[in-house]
This record gives sequence, structure tokens and C-alpha cells, in this order.
Amino acid sequence: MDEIKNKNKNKNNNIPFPYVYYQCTCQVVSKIRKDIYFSTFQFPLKEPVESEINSTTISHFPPTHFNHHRLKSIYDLFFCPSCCELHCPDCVKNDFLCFYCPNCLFDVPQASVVSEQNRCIRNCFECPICFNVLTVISQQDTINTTATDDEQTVYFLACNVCQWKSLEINLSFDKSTGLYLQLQKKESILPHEVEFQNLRNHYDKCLRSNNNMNNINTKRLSALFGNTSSFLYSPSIISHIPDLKTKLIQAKRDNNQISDEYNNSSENKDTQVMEDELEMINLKNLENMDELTSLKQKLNQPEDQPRYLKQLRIHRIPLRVKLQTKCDKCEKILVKQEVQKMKKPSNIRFSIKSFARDYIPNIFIQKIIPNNKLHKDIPVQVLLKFVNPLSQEISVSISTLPNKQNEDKMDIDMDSKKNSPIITPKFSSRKSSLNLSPILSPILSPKKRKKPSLKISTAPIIPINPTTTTKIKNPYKENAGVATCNVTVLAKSFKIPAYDPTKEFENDTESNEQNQVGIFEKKKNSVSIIVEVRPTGDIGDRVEFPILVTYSFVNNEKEVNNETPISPNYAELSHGVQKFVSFWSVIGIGEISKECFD
Amino acid sequence: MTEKQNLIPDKNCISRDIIYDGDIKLGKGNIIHPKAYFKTLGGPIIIGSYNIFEERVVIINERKEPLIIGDYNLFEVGTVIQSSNIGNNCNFQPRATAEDGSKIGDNCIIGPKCYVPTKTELPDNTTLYGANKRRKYIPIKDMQQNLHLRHLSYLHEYLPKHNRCMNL
Repeated sequence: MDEIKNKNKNKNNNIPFPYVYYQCTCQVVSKIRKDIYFSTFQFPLKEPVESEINSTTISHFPPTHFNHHRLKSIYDLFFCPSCCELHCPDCVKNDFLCFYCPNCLFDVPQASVVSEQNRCIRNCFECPICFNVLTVISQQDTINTTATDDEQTVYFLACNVCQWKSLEINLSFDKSTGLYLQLQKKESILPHEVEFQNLRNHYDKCLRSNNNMNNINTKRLSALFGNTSSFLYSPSIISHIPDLKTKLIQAKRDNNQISDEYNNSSENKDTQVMEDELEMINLKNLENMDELTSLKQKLNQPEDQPRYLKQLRIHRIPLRVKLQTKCDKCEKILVKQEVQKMKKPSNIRFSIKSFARDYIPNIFIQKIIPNNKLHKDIPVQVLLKFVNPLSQEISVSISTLPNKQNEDKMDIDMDSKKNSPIITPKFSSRKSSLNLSPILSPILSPKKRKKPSLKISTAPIIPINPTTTTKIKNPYKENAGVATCNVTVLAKSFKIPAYDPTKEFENDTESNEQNQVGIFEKKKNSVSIIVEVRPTGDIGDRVEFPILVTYSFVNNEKEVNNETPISPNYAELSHGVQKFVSFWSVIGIGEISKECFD
Repeated sequence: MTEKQNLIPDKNCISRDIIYDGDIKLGKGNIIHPKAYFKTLGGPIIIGSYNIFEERVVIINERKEPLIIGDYNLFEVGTVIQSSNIGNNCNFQPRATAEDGSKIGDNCIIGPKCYVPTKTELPDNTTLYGANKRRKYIPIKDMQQNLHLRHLSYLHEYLPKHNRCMNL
């Protein structure tokens, strides 16, 4: 059964190899939330305490195969500099920034959006047939150029896609500019426009008279209760005084009867009412469907929903909205386009962009040695390249999950590797100081405790020392079948020099420094480390392993550069304060293939 | 228009880098860009006057009856015409297809990647657009022909400058 489950899991997870994917912080949050739910069975789900989401907590929640589909590439992730967290497109807010026209790309100020009915006021028109953009064509081109200079040129709109011309609805213009104003004049005579205007005028009057009535009432009431008019508006107060309530309702009803009803008999002359019978005859006499409008075309003109193509009208192009991306937690803007006011519509620069690739060390698979098919129990060396995008030196520490089969042998393994300098990860020292929040602590008490909560309480994920790992038999029973490889990282912590844009095109000068064990090469702002991977799974299993990357830096500058502005919060950390950020990333190198004994 | 028409030479301007096979009759003032492909497996291909065939246009006649193409047609890049008759003033936009045995009237515009299904007759003044939607339109013949003639005269002047052409 387990095997089948594993296979299903493998099928669900089909990210092409090789890849380096990252786990977003929201995964950790959702896992904590789930743990809280399983321990308390309370609904709605409680949010974890924000301070709980730090590098230590993150280290307790490695990505499992269950959520592989929620892993993201570094290019899809954002990084909030103020709360120092990764954010994926699922855990950011998209807010309104401004309106713009998709055709002429001009930004439209919000004030004019309402008055212009959400449509572009420039010469941008939509084809009523196929909804593409219409172009202005002058009639002069079409006429033979034989002494027609005296004739006035006539302009019309034409669609280049469906060859519709505004001449089909007998619409032409005298000038090629300001078409909207010319169109507005013609539209203002249309029956539905007239009707709308009448209605508006009528209800404006009603509103005004109602306001007057209210004023009188409040005046009367204020005489009784003093000047607390806002107090009076609350219906609860009024309902306590039965006599007053009935009087108020009566007054309102009278008022309604007098003026609220809209009597359209007077304006009826303007509206075109087609007899049903007439329409039936017209429809019966149709030879083909070419003259009728489609549903989409009708809905595009909801005022009158025309049946015939000749009744279609030209509409201006509806405006669209530009969005800005905000951090879900601290509301800091992560991505924002430069808003240009009425000039340079083609400008597509961003004023703020906090992408993860500019903040966290970028991991690449540089090389797999030997670059053959993967076989069971034949170790391969993977060169992982860490690139530092920040302009400060960062120190990185890496840890992996405990190896699956070798848990019991761990002691021996560790003994044999005594020669290699294994530097304990930074959080190992903090493990003891991991304080559980008041919300998390009840997890420990109930007996119905689920496995994930175990992770928080006791399980140190990282095999810091062999004694602890042997004690906990299987902290990841869920992933036990999933771990298809043993991973050994020799260089568990190293420093990556700062990114210097001035040195970008300089040739590399090989430093004579003695490389740390496990480090393959150092270049400018990147370090390549050697990771030994020994596949242990069955044939067809995916070889992929999570690694926990914790990087720390000391912020010395207030601003790095213009492109990656660092928030005040970020700058507050300055001068000697170390900031730790950690995240899980999953590295997949291939599938275990059949063994061949060549 | 007659003045303009006089500006266009009567000779056909045909790029040498074309593939052709079988019985092909050309009118006058046609333009054939390089990489065009003409092939007859049965009857001849009879092409009228003042047509433009752009790159990678494929015209195949598999029937015994002749394939007749009228005048003032524009076949844009990647058009495929399979054993179908075509009227005058038609415009085949990129990758348009006329399938086996179809018949296309005058002043038709076949939009990009649209196709005329097999054995269908497209009446005059029809346009295919989008996802093969069909509608009738009111053509402005003067404007279209004017534009076409300007296009022709330009190509007659510039195509031989940049390609090895033969004037037939």
C-alpha cells in the first residue's frame, strides 16, 4: 500500500528535472495553523503569532511531497524587506493602483473615470462586431483623385479584423479628431439616453425633497432631544418611542406617494416601442442570420440590447486597472509600477520591485558529476552555486534532513567523517532556546496529538549530533518513503562576498586562498559547494532533497541602491545587528534509472 | 485609376527562387516573391493579372479542371490554395487556407489563419475573421484597388533590386 501511495505521490509531483524550487513562508504559516487546529479542534483557524515565524520555526517545517505543487521558482517569489519573509503570488495582496486605457496606454485619473463612465476619452473605439480596435479612415482616400479637392472629406471608423465600417450604421465624422465629442452629441438624442436623463432629473428632485423632509423631522426631534442629531438617526432609538416612529413612517409614506413614483407617460413620445407582432413578422421574413446580433454583441450594449446589426453603436474602449502588490502581513508595497501623469504612456518602469532574486541567495545547480543516469547506491556529486545579490557579505549555513536509512548507522558515519569539519548550523545553538508561544504550547498537552505537532515539540530536524537523531526514530514518518537519497554536505557554512556591479565584467582572478573543504570554487559574488547525493530509492523514484538555507548579514548601509531600496525597518537593523533569514529549498536532480552493469 | 495602372509594367516580376511544376499560365503585371510554390497534378493553373504572391504561398491544383485565379488578388505569407477557384480583388491574409474544391467570389477577405472549408462556395463581399467567423461587408472597391496598385508599383520597383528576378 505504501508503495502505491508513494507512486501516486510521485505522479502528482511532476516538476521537470533538474530544478531548484523554494518553499514560501506561507507554507509554514499554514502548517502551523493546521497543527493548531489538530491540537485544539477549534474553528475558525487561529493565526500563528507573527513572532513565531522566524528562521527557527521555519527550520521545523521542511517541504513535504504533499505540497510539492506549491513550491515556487525563485523568479515567482517576492521578498518583503521589512518582515524578511518570502512571499509567493498566493500570499500577497493585489491592490488597485490606477486606471489606464489598454489601447493608448494613458493613465486616467480617478476623478475623470467616473464622469467618463469608465471608458477612454481619447480616440479609442471598440468594434461592436468583433470588439477589436477601430481605426479612423478618411473618405478622401477612397474617392478618385480627380478634382475632388472641393469636396469635404468625411471620416469614418473601420475595423481591420472583421471589415466593419461605421458607414454601415450611417455614422461618419467631419473631423478626424475629437471623435468622442462628435459621437456624444449624436448619442445624447438616443431614446434611452433621454430616458436616463429624465429619470435622473426626477430622482434628483425626489432626493432633494426627501432631504428637506428629513431636515424638518430632525428639527422637530432636536427640539425634543437637543442637538444630538446623529443620535436620532439610529433606528433603535426611534423604535423605542412608538408614537414618534409611526409618525415618521407616515410622513415618509406620504412623501413617497406624492413624488417617488416616476410617471413616464409624458416622455413616452421619445421612446421607441416596437410592437411584438411587427417584430415577429420581421423575424419571420429574415433570410439568414447575418442581420441579427449575437448574444455577446447584445450584452455589450445592455441599454437596449439590439436584435439587428444596424442598431449597434460604437463604444469607447473600457478602461482597465493596474495593480500593485503588497505584503499580506505588513502591507508594504512589493511591486509597483511608476505612475506617469498624462505623459510617456509607453513607460513601463517599476518604482518598487522586491523580487526574491534580489534579496535571497540564488541557488543554481552548476554541475552534476558524473552527468549520467542516476543509479541506486551510486553517489553523485552535485555542485550547487550560491549567488549573493545583496551588496553586503552574507554568511550562509546549510542543513539537510536526517538521512533515511542511515539513522542507525549515523554514529558510525559521523565517526568516520570526523576528519571533515562539520560546522553546526547556527540554529543548533538556538534550538534549546526555542520558546513555544502560548498558542503553540497547548499542542503539547492533548493526547490526540498528531505527528506534525511532534515536529515543534521535540524533533530537531537537523542531525546536529548523532545522539539526538537516534533517539527520535522517525520524525518524518510521512516522508519516510519519500526520501529517496542520502545527502551529505561538507561545507555547512560559508561566506559569500557582496555583489559589486562595477566588477561585473572583470575577469576572474583566481584567489590563492586555500578553499574550505567542500567548496568547489569562489567567484566574485558566488560560491559553489559540493553536495554528495546517494540515491537509495527504487527504480523510477525521484531524487530530490530539501535543504534549509539560513543566511545572515549585517546591514551597514541605509540604502543599497535605487533598484533595491531597503525599507526603514531593514535599515533599523543597521550597525552590528545580525539578521537571520532562512528558507527551505528543494533540489531535484533526476530519476533513479535501471542499473546496468557495463 | 487608369493613370496609375499605366505606371505598372505589363511584365510579370517573378523571383527566380520559386518552385514551380506543370502547366501555369500568367496574365500580366503579377508579382511572385521568392519561395512561392506552384504545382499542378492535373489541370493547369491560370492566373489573371496584377496579383501579388508573397513568400511561402502554396498553390496546388489536383483536379483535372483548371484552377483559375482572377485579378488584383493579394496572397500574403503562407497562404495555401488547394484546387479552388478565386475571383477578383481578394485578400488572403497570412496563413489563410482555401481547402480542396472551394470557390471564392470577388472582394473576399480571408483573415489570418482562417480557412475556407472543402467544397464550399464563398459569396462575393464576404470576410472570414477570428475563429473562422463569416460575415458580409460593404467593400470600398476604389480604396482597395488604389492601395493594391500602389503596392504593386512599389514591388515592381523594389523587388528586382533585392532579388534575382525574371521579367516575363
